[in-house]
Amino acid sequence: MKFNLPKDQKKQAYENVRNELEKNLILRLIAINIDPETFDEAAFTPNPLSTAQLDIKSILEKMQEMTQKIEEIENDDD
Amino acid sequence: MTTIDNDLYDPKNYACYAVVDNKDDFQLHTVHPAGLKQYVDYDVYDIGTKSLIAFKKINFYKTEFVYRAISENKTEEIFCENYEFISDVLENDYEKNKYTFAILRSAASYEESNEGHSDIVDKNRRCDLEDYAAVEFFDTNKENAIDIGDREYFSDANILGWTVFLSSMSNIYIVKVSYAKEMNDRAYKDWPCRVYVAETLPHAMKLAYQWSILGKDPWNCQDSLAITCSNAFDEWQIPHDALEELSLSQPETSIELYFTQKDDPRRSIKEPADVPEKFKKWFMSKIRYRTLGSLLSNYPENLNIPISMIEKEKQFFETEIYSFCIQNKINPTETTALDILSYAYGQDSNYKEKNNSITDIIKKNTYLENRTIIDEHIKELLSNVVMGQS
Repeated sequence: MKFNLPKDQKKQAYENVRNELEKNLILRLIAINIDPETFDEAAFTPNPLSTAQLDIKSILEKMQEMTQKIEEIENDDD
Repeated sequence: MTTIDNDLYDPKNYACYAVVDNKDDFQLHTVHPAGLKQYVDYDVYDIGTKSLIAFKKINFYKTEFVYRAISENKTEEIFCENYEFISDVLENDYEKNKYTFAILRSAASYEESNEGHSDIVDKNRRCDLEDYAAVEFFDTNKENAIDIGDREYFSDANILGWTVFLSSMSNIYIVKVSYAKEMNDRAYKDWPCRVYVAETLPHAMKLAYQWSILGKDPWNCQDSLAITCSNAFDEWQIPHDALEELSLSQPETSIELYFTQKDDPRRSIKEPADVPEKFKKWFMSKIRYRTLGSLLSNYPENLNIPISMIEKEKQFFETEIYSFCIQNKINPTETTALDILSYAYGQDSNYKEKNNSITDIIKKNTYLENRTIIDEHIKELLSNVVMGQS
């Protein structure tokens, strides 16, 4: 069996993944003493020597990817 | 008890399900020798003439073998085991020579179970690990241990594990015992344990039933096994016709052979392994099921579970599988359940099963095609995981 889903469920699946990423992001921010409430994603520039900060950047990119997918599904009229 | 609106059903909250006839305001308890303990990790849904109990946890303490739903007018029991883990026996689809079924005594204290000898049985030889409800078990290494079975077979190295099928707290358990090497019936037929060990579940049940009869008038046998079996059958309330059918479906037991003096009670007995329908129907109405889909298709009566709840469960599983594929950059339209299982088990050598993890969802998912192939694949993968860990 291959897995294919209707639009609503696909969107839910991407949202699930984004939520998991968000949880990971919060944990990592707390670990390096950044307040998740005041964290500014747009202004965040990781220190290339900090693995933790690079990791956060990577999570943000993945979250962005998920958001784009969700928007694509929402805009898909098929 | 608060019944939850069926529209609010969310499958991710639950680990397994059971059904009771009780529609009153009941409370669920676990049964312990010292009494009942209120159990709260569950929700109740109204499904017409019955109530659906949705359990939030599958992991239970080793003494929580039975749940009791109690209202003012009604008491019903639910055995903790899930259909999916024992269906091989109920459907007679398993390797007989690697198992026996035993009537093991459940006692109010560990010492009591060993008649005052506090440490005859090693803790790791017991079906439970609390201070109470100890299960008498065979021991081979302890000093003063009584030889009740063949030490070669009933040894730590040969006993792999056990599954409690029926439980009557402080009385008896009916337990399936798994062995590493093929069991030879001489390992118990030539030993005192012949009166409470059988090759099959129905024969063990017949043995227990006969002990229960011996415990009652006119026999009034004072052997503790007769008394505890008698108490257990009073508690279980198995329909009489089911017990009759069970008795007739099995050949004479060692107890019958002894009392009738027809033959040597030690002789080998060919036990049919098919579980008689009426007993099976009763038993399957008392156990838990991992999914609503499984409950709906395997419960011995038609259940009025709203289709919207079944659909929600199916969609939850599908969405979780799809999410796993996204997370792991697997193309969901190009992959199968087998691929996902291999990937998930291969990911982490310290793999541990959790409720609603990706592997759990695939393992219990009744909505997937090729269920038999998936089950075979799981067995193979798990044997590799175990071998990898050892």
